[in-house]
Amino acid sequence: MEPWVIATSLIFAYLLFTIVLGFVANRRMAADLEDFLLYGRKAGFVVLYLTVVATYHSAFAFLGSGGFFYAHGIGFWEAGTWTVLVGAITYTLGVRIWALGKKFGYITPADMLADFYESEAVRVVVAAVSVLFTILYIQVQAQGLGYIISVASGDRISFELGTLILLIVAAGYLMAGGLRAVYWTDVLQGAWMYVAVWVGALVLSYELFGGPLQLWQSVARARPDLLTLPGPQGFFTPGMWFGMTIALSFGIVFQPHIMIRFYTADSGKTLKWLGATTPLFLMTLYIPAALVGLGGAVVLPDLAIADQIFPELLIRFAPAWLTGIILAGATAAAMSTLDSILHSNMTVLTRDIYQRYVAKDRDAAHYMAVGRWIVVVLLVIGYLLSVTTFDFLVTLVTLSGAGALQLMPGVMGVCYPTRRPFTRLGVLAGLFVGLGTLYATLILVPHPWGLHAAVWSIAANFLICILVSRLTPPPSPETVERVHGAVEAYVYGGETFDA
Amino acid sequence: MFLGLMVLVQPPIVFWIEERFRSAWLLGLPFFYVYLGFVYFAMIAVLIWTVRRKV
Repeated sequence: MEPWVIATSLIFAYLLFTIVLGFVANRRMAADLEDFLLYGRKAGFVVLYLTVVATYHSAFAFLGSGGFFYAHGIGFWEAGTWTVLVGAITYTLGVRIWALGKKFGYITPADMLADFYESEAVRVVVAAVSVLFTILYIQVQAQGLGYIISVASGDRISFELGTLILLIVAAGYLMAGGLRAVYWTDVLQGAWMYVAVWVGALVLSYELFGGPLQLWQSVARARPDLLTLPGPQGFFTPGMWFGMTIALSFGIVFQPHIMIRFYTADSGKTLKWLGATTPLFLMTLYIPAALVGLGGAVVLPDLAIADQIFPELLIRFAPAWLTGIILAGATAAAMSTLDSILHSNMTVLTRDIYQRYVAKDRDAAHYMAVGRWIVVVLLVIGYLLSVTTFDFLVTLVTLSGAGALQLMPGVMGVCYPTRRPFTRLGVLAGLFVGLGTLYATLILVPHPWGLHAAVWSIAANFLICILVSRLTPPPSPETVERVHGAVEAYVYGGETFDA
Repeated sequence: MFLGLMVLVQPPIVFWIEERFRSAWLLGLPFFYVYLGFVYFAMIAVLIWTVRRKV
């Protein structure tokens, strides 16, 4: 049997398995909105751990990181800074978001912000920003899926068709089983991707260089420029290093698919352990990615699309059966994030827009049906974006993170009690100025003075938010006392909020 | 302690380390790579220690 047939068959076998899981989840699902959207707030440590890491690491980690090591060298090992920071943010901020969600029944990030700032305008703007910037993330995953299947099949299945098939499968099991299906498939996908990337990198290291240490020595001899900062193309300047750390830690955490996961934990203790231990998974995945990218730069120095380095190496140098299993792991990495983003955008649009402004007081089945149609619309948008726009996967993710980062002052204002709370006008003004600054420092004058646009935009956002909040009326004392009182009761008062 | 460790992997310290020890190797790997990995694991250890202490 030809190698491409084996590789492609294994990927399709994997897809079939996820569809079965989705339908099993559907049979176990209770017919209420909280179960469909939030897994009934009952996610324990193991399930939550694997869904968070699988969601955080996507095609970006599996393909994009290899591509970045390939193009820009050892500087991408800075990825460890943002993955560890994500753990600390989950530990400190995530538990507060969880506690408020548990106490007041929040389902989306906009629920929390609109409640505290007493503003429907805040709800709509937060929902719009959440959806707008995570649609870029759908594009990242869809492109990754297209790369994988076109390389695995030796271009017999086109990038466009591969993307479409995998998008339909992810949307299918999400529509069938809601967040329960997403979590169940994420457990499988999280474990599979971790094993796959390590096995793939080690096999290639031994096959091509005689081992990982020999690989590093070969890189030092053949491409010493890859082992220096700021890298061969001068990308990793101090400003970019710091900016990517901020954009890819805070920026990813403030995306709705991660914030919603905080709501779903069964206890605050689960979330604290999650924060402390997820960096182990997240950070160590970049160790094999470095082997793939740097080793690939020595073996295949003239690859047109850097993000394809891992599948290209596998197809050329690994046994077909192993290539299939590993590329199925790459498919898992992309799909586990894709389904989570589709789900979170469905939740935001159903809860914050449709249920609020279009059709109030309908039954749960109605909203679940609407949510499924929203997934179809998102799928079409994501597909069109993925086949018409191309860029480095990592660049797209950074842009997506920098956009979601603009929610930071608003969220911090809710979760960290201060003597002078932020106001709704302060948060809105800061958000718009932050987005404007992001556009200016990313598109018009990219990264002025070498400092990443994420840093410029969030600095401008905070500055305006603080200034305007000084001049405009704060939320009512009752609301501030209710929300901040709940935070203080949880953090300092020992209240558990556990059911 | 966590923030102190984070400073060690941010500019300008991290760029100074890279430039100062560019040709140094440790455990068969570039020193810079090992340095970053060591600090990352130390930060994770701090987080786990914090949970176990129920802070």
